[in-house]
Amino acid sequence: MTAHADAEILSAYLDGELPEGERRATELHLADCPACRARFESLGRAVASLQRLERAAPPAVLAQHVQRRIALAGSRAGALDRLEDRLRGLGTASPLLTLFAVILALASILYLFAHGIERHQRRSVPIVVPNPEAARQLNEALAQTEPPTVRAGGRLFTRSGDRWLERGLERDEAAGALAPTVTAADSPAGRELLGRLPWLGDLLAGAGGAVFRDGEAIVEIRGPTATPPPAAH
Amino acid sequence: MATAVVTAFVYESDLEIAERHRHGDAAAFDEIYARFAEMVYNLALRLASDPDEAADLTQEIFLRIYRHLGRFRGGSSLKTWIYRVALNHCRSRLGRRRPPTYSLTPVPGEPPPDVADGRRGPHERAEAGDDAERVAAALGRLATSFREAVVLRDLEGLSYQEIAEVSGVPVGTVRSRIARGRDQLRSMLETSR
Repeated sequence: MTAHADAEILSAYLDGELPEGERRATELHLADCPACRARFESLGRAVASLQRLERAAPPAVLAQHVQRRIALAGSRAGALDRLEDRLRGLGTASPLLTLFAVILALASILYLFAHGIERHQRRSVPIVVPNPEAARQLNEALAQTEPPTVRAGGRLFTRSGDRWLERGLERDEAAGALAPTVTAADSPAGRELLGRLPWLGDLLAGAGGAVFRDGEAIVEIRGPTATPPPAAH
Repeated sequence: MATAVVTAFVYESDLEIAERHRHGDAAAFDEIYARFAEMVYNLALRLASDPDEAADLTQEIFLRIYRHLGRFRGGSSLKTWIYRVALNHCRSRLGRRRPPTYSLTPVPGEPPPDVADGRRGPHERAEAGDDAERVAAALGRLATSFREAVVLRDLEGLSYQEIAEVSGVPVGTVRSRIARGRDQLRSMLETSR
């Protein structure tokens, strides 16, 4: 032990409460360290002073007073005394009893809180008055916010950017997994498609292209449209 | 081995007294008062630092013992159980007021605090010098938890384990509180010499 012994070590050493190893180390340290030895001796003197304090005898009348309090405890006056005693003893109740009381109180608070919220929520439910005009306006607004959808050739197409996308291909497109064979509308393959699937012309009239299934293949046909715009008169 | 036999005998005796009290034997409580009144009064005196308050506390503590003795099941010795009741009651009562503070050096015109031996008169106390007064005053200045630990160890002579049971804290905490209380006391007594 090279550092000075702390107060807890010295105090436990004085009481013989140190484990054997620590006790020996402290003994050796005290033999070599005058500062710790002086402190230990000072501690010993303080404890000896405490132990020299004489014990006091309780006042002789105390026994009678206790007997009177006990007698009162059995009478009606004693009921108040018991109450007072219990109130005083609240802080000394058993930990289990205290824990139970705390849990009960918390559960009561939570129940009341939850019940209050439920009632509040019930009161908060709005009363809906049917209004067809408001419903129509709402539907129109919703329709405007949703991506446009058209039906062509018995298939559903949704607008995605400048092209129409056949319904069912959205997930692959979102995942970047859509790899269609791109065909220009004015190429021989494009003209072949437009001839075979005439509804493609309607789709390409209002968009830059259309992506659709053609058998097992996924094809994208890009404008210009096969159907020329109406001539100006 | 002999200690174990004696301990078992003491515990059985404690239980017997509690059992007699449960069955309405008034002599059982008288016996308990006779055995423990001095112990309870001195604990209260050292914790309250006031003889009148110690007497009040002792009355209340014995009233509690009278009411709750029926619950004593011998899990500890009766002495430890009574110390626990007494300490809890003192904490409850004394925790509501500020601890008294005393000057360690005599203040002109002020009497020294009356916290020493209640049996001795002023003349005897004067003859014994002011050492006991200084020690009692220093004890009264310790923080409550340190004072409790030091009183139970150095004045009541309880072991660390018994103090842990009475105080409801681990033995390590008891060791630390005793050490810190003693060290503060040592420091106060040295500076007041």
